Amino acid sequence: MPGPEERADDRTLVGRATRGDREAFGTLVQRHQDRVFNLAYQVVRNREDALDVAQEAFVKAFASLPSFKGEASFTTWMHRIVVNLAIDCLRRRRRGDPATYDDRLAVPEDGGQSLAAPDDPEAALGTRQVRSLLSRGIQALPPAHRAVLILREIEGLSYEEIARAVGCSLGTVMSRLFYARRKLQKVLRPNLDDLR
Amino acid sequence: MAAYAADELPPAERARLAFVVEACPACRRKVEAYQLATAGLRGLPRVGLTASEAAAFLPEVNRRIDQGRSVAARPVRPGLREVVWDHPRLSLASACTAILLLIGLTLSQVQMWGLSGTAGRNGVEIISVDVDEDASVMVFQPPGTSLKIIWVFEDSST
Amino acid sequence: MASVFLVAGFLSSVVTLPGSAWGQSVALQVQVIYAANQEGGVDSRLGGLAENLKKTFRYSMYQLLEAPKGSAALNEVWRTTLPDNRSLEITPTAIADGQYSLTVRVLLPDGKAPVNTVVRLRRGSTVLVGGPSHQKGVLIIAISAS
Repeated sequence: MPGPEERADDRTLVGRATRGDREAFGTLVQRHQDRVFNLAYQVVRNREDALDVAQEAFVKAFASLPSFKGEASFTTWMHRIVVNLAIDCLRRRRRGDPATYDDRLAVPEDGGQSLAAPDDPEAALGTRQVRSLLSRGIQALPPAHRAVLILREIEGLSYEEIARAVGCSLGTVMSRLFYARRKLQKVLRPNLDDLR
Repeated sequence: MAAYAADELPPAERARLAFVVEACPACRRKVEAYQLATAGLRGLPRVGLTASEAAAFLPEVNRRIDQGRSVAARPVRPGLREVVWDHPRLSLASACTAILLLIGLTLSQVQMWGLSGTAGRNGVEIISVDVDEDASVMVFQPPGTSLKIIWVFEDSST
Repeated sequence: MASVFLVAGFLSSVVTLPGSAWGQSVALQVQVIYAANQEGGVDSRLGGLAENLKKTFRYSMYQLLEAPKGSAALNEVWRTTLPDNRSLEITPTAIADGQYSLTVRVLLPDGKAPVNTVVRLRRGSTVLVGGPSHQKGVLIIAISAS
């Protein structure tokens, strides 16, 4: 039976957290930490960085609670914080250490079942190849483009939601999405025959 | 094509593009690649926290909050590549402006004199000398002077 | 915004284009000198040029015959007469800040041009065209532009 904190919706919890209720904030963190971590990971493609970005996102959210007006959902608000921190992380990484891509360390939520269907090794191989190529394509995208693509294709946000999350115009979202998709398409097209 | 593959076009537009895709093998291949990319992305496994990471997550967040840790460094400015990708027309306009300025500055210095640059050390450069077939010419700079001299040896009949 | 950049860039490039685009003219100074091995010494009106002439040539006399001045716009021919029915034509063919490209021709009475040269001068510099015979010596024509 969920306790009173678990039953309260995000808006209520935010209200309490703003008034100094750390327990309410803790509930928000636990409720959203997986989703936030996944989003951070999909953008930065590095587990350690993703963990840092996810935790920093909540720290920043806590500090910015008074400015949360409630027009958007807490999830959307967090999207914005996470994406911006993830983009900053990528930009800092590009100017410093080269990207330490470690998608092999990813632990899918389904325990790895989605990676291979034991009764269809060929399909599994194709899926792995697609994902490998996709990962290569995503790695090559500029941070802001990568973020928009992730929010659209993985998080399933609408264009308007993405624009709010990333803090840019609708036109910019569409433009970035166009270039990102085209990049991935170019990576996959030469290998289509092998992947069919 | 990307929007068509992602099924984001209005019906009329989609129908029109469907006709094109049907007739064009290269277009079909492109659409297939787009669809594969989209499906691949949407099929990427969600990445979750391990049990130990999940358990340690909130305590770490609280620790950072209690330490009064300033949240992140200042936002990192986008690199040139990102700016170009985001503002292609402005980038192209800026590049054209820079090229125009460069051409203008270069022309004003070179002044159609090719790559030979400005006049020589003494301020004089002989570009060309034509003389009659009856005459001969010598171009020289006497040592110890700043003169450049074109000396014509005329035919004795002139 | 992009159009503002383009217009600004275009205007800048036009402003920096060669001065020929703006109809400038060149002031020309010519000194026609008669050099020979005879009495007469060095004409004091030659100023600093005299020293250089003495270092270069072995003539005992340098006399300034005439010192015509004038100006010419780009591709405009400036003419002056020279002794022995010769004439001198100078045509500026390019002008930039402080540098001038000139076509110099010495013409004979019959219109033939035994000497046809293109020179580039920095403001204040002098080029000498010499050798046409005159009386017992030669003519030396000193040309400078500003």
